[in-house]
Amino acid sequence: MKSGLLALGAMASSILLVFLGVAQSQQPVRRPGFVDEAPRSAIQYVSNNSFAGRKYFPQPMCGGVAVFDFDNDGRLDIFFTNGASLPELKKKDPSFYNCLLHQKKDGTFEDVTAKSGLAGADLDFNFGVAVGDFDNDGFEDLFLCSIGRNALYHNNGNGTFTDVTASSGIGGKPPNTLSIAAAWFDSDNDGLLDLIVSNYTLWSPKTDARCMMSDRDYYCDPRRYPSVPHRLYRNLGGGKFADVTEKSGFAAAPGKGMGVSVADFNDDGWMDVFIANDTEPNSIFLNRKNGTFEEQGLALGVAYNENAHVGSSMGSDAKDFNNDGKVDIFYNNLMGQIWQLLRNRGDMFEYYSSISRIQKLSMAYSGWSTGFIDYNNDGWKDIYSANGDVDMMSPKSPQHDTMFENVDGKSFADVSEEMGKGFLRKGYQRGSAFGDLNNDGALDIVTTSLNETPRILRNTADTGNHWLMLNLIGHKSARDAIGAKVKLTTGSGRSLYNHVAVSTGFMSSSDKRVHFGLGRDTKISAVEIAWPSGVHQTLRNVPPDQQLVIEEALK
Amino acid sequence: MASHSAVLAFILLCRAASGQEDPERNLRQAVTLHQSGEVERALPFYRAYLKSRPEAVEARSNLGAALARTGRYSEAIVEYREALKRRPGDPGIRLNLALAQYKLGQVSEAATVLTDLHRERPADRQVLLLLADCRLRRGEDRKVIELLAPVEQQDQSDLAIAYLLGTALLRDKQVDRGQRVIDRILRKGDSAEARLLLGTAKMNASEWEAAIGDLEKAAELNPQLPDVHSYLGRAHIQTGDTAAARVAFTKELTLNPTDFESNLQLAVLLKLDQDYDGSRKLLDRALLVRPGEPRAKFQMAALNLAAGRLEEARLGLEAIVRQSPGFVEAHIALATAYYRLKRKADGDREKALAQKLTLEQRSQDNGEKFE
Repeated sequence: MKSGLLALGAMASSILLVFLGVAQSQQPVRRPGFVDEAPRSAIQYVSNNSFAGRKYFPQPMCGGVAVFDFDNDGRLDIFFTNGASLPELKKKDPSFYNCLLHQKKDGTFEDVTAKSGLAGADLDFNFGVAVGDFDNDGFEDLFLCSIGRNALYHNNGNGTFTDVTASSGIGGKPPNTLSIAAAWFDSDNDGLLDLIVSNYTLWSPKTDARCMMSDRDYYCDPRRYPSVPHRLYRNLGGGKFADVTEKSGFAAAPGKGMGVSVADFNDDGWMDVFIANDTEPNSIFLNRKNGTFEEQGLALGVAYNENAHVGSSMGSDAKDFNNDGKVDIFYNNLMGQIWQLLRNRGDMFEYYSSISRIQKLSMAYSGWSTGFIDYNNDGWKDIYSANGDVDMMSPKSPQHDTMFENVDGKSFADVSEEMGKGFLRKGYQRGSAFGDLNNDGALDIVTTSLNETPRILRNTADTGNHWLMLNLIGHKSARDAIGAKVKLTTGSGRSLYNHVAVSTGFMSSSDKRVHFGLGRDTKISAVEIAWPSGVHQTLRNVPPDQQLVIEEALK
Repeated sequence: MASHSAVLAFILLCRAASGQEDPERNLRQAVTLHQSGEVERALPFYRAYLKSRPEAVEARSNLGAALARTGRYSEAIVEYREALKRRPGDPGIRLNLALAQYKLGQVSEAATVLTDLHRERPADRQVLLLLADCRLRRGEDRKVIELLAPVEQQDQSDLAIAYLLGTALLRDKQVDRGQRVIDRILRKGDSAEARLLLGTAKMNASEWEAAIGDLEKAAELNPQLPDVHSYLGRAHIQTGDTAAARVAFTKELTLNPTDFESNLQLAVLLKLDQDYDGSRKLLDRALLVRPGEPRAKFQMAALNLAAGRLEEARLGLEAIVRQSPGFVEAHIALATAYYRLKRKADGDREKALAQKLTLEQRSQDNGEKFE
């Protein structure tokens, strides 16, 4: 967002201020950690990839996560996707069911899968989940990615969901297309959320290549499999979608899609799409504002690494890590490859992993879901990654999560060891989503691990730093306001940037609220919002340490 | 070279002592200063003498040696070449010329001179070792093996030869043979050379952390050991520790400014840190050591691309893909340059070429690598 872009008046009448947080007492600044709260709840869910000796190609990608408030009770709930038995590709028993956890008042979770209708017994191996209120009815809906048919669930607003895939027209894709992740965004700024689906390859149990070494299976190199187009579905309204993959230009740039990140990279008011492609050049689709997109990965410097090589690009996120007003990109990689932090220079992205120390910090890890989160509320977005190698071939394969702390907008430090026992659990971590589960102003993390129970990592939030959480409600813009850009100016003059982004990392969907850590600043001079519709709003002298619901001005 | 100069000085001094005129006094003064280590002060006396006696080969050669000793290798080369015009076959001057070229990073030119010298004087160990080192620096590992293997068979006690040969064999993936040569060094006890070779062997096996341990020990035993910091830098890069790599490459270049890999790798690191001028200087030097080396040329073009010198990048990359049509990375970078120059059609063409080449490589690999 350019400075001065949001110059004009707060619409006091359209702003509903809801004070939910508790003001923080002044404490010395310290580093928070995470506590695994999952054992407090009776969680039956285990991400089940059907591994039993024989290795099938999709198995390492199991356990998508969504953090969202499905019943609008003000507390975030959790949804997990799950695998299917192989080679049958069926959720043949409840151990493969997807799972919806409802957060109770005491902060524990209850399994409401059966009641909600989200078990997905008729689906197969599910990967990613994307949360978005596609019909603007005020209740968040779900899209699930699969080996077989993808599924769109409409939230009925009474704790139940209805599979509306067939009637919506959103499920179509070529047979055997592995759809890995998806993101809701308003591609044409018409106030309706469209959907981009990150597709990986064509695969079926019949075409699965078996790779063996010394009579032991290992997961085959992805380069054996072909690339496929990512698919864009345009929301026509009335619960209907049209597959505009060809017309929009997405078909022209196939890939092996993993993480998908939506943001306005060139700050022209239209949302663009970055897709991390495994062993293929990454893609950035720039919005041409006429229903079409142009793939510009090479020109913008995101397609390859600094040596013009592809990597095993995994999860991704797009946020402004250095608060210069431009959205940057991060994607992680496998062990021995460079996790890429790409700094947005305006006209192109530059490799920033070496200079920021990410290269050194990340070399030993295989990352999956990831995200920019300001875990310590100091105003700098840190980088979290859920780690664990693809295969289980060496003692270094099971890994713990990492937290790379953003020191000053220029460099990062590995503070993982200080994040607590639950954070450091080793395994094959996959999906992860972020959100303020207990509304205390600090971001929590929910992470899945292959064939293990998930972790619900509560942020200890004991830094003494201040914060602000914004829940933007669109009216002319889509209700979820995905892509709305926020510039916050603190009392001391710091400019902080963020935007509404739900699809983060890998196969996962995070809290849609926009979070700001303020450091020691106790005053907020201005909050400037640029809505996707083009509406601009400014709030002045906003008290910190609160959750604020901001409705889009109607004029 | 030192003994050769001393003999020369003695002759000249004798001549001066036998009652020459002023020019001879200049020469006498030059030689006295040169021998006493006051090389800088000797230079004007040599020059004064040569002004009146431009045909004096020994004095010109002495001037070259004095210039080389002060690090002015380019000027030294001019004087040596001038001397060789009057005495073309002089082996001492040719060796000094090669040494100056080697020091200046003109490794190819030095190798040419040394190859002729070695042909004429195969028993000259200094020429042999210097030639082998030039070839090693140029990455001509097989030529090093051809050069040194017969000598090494006859004399297995020469550790310098064993070291150069062992390095070439390991680089050429002749691991067993290389290991046998290394073992001879190892049997002499813990030494910097042995640790260096162990470290490089571990690097070949991608055991980066273990390699760093050996290389650090080698550097501790002999901080002046050629290549040790260069290898250490490369191992650090593999572990992602670019800060440590920068330190190691810088140390190597302090000791050995013409080390190709250190110049190249440090240039890449400086480029990533956006020190484009620093990176360019190092790439210039790398290309002086190995003119036309594709990796160095590619990095120079990539540097221009990163620095926004798009036309220079385009020209460099076009030359690379003309010379090496199968260089996929160069096609990728060239496509990027075209796109940034708003030459979309050219960019699309290069991108398609890169994709085609990648697919061809993958289809070849599918039968091997991905099995």
